[in-house]
Amino acid sequence: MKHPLAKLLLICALPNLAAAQDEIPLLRPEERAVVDAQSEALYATLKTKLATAAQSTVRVWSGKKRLAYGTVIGDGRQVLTKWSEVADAASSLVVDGPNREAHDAKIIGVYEEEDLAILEINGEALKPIAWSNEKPALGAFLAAPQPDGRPAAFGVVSVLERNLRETDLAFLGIGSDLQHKGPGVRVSEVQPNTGAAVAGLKEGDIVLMVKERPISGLMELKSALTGTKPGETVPLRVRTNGGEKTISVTLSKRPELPKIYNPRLEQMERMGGKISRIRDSFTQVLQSDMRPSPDQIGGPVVDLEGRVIGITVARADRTRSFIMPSAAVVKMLANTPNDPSIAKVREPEKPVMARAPKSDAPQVPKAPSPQRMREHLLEMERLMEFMREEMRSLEPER
Amino acid sequence: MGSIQCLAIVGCLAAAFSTLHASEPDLAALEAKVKSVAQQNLPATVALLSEDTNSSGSGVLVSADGLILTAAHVVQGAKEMFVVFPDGEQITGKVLGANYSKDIAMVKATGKGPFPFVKLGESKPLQAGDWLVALGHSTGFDATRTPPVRFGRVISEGPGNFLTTDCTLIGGDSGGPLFDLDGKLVGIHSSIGKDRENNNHAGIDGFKDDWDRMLDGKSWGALTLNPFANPEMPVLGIAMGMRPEQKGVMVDGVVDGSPAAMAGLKVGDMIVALDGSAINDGGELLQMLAKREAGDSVKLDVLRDDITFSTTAKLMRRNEIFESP
Repeated sequence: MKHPLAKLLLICALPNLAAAQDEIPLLRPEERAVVDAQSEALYATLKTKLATAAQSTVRVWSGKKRLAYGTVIGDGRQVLTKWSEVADAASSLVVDGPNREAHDAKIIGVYEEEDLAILEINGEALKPIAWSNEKPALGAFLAAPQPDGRPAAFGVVSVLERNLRETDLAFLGIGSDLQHKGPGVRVSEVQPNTGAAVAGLKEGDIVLMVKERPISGLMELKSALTGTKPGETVPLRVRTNGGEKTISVTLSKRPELPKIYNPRLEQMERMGGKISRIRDSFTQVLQSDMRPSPDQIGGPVVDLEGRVIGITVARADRTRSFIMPSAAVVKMLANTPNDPSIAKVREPEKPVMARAPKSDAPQVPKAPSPQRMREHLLEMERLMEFMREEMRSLEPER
Repeated sequence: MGSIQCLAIVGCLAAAFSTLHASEPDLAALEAKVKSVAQQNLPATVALLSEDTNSSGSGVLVSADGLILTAAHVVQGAKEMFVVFPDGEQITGKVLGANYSKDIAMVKATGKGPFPFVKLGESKPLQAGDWLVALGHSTGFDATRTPPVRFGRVISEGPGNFLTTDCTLIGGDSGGPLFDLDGKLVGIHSSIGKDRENNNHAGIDGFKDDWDRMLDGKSWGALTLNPFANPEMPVLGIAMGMRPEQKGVMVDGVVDGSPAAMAGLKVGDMIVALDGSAINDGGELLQMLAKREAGDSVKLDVLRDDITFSTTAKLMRRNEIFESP
């Protein structure tokens, strides 16, 4: 019925998922009526902001199945949509817009990394979108239209623009000693062929500052490195056996690291509606709490002035959707897309299986049997190994 | 035919409420408030990590000297936790007390401060439709982003001190802050249900009653996910009888010294309304009671010998009048 929200990386002794129960147990009809009326009033007001963008919003179909939304671009005969949703369409693609007229469509180009495709449509040209370079602030209201002008989704800017691709992040190459309580980060290991190794960092050294920023601990080291790029050379203030010194380290790219499969979190991500298959590793996105369904991804997003600030690129989980800002879309469109006959849908992140997902864990924890305890210990050891691996990498985590 | 009529009635109600409460929201004014609430409260929204329990949750500072409010299940089993600020700065914190029945807890950051902190608001006056802003370190501390902002409103009050909103939460948000539009802290994130509208928060007023005990390092109560099994669930102290042909709840027994006894209820009475809302059956009475708290006074309409009269009962905690199992 309910799920405690602390994300537990290892064994959770807390009540787990019970049988799916959708309703809110104490919801009174009076409360439902107030909330529904409020939504209706909100949507009526939003409609006026969505009218223009809706004229450039289309639905992409394969037979009777709606695959995605799309945004009309170019001369009105091209549509930008979500590649992974249209790539394996069972039948030929059809696009319909605000006037419901059906247009046959074919894929003419693909941007694999952004998971976007360009469709070319037959028939009369539609109205191309007018992009805006406005950058909405944290907490700003956002809405996505349906082609008929009603809202498909509404939310706020949850996180400002960022890069989700881990291998684009700067990497130092040290492991940290978790027993060290700070300040600074005590090096427990130096990985060969990394900036840290080249600069001569040694086990036992304590990293005190990155650039001029004092480092309180591991998390702050990650934060400090988030502001840097691979290839950049940064000064580190380090305490060694021989006293304090400043060294220069050239950061490398973060290698691909295994992502730990966390069944509880995975399950929570899916609580609250379907999510997009490709929903990670975008290089330039805003995060929003708006909740378009996966078959409504690819359409425009507007601010309260009706300006088109971007397009939806994924419904990521219960709490997150990703929006590619207009400036990034325009920049992408200036590049030649890939040939659809050779383009591939990129692989979704495959987390390392740490523990088999449980479909019907008991609601109330029971005292574990000795056998189960031994299994837990083994699992814990394996997970600790993964954790150490993760900590060793010491780079900004996504 | 019946279901169509039902829908029509709901439609009418919604229309009536929309003219009363929700006509033409001023979205620009609302947006300005949400932006300001988010920006002003971000610095005090911390991640709480424990190496001992491998728990990763959130918390919020409520004083310049480092008092942190969080959820009980975040601190469970930990004596000390890392406190990580949105910019990555990390200090340690000492776990103080917790009331597990309310899923609330306190942690004290070590160090002199002064730390950024938020102001306390009130949760009792909140009702369905009140706009809110949620912050929290979703899925754990992430150096590449600030704690995500979520906007929503109260969907349903209760159980007890809890409230349900459509500010969507996920693992890692536990213990994180919920704010009203004045930027005041009104709740702490606790749990979620399957529905995206089912996000549960412990109301801030629940902290106020337990403040000194928690500050003093006391931990008590039991973490329960069933509101009706919560030992702090408010009760009248009656046994409910069956009278299926009649609307209301028949009193089949009255516990000595209970709210029902003090309100003058007797075996054979029918409770037909609570605070003016008709009670059709036992389930409805429990639902209405679960939205209240121990200490609250409720007005009961009672049918006895064909005469209806009103009386007032001051609710008590279940574990005050019934022995704990």
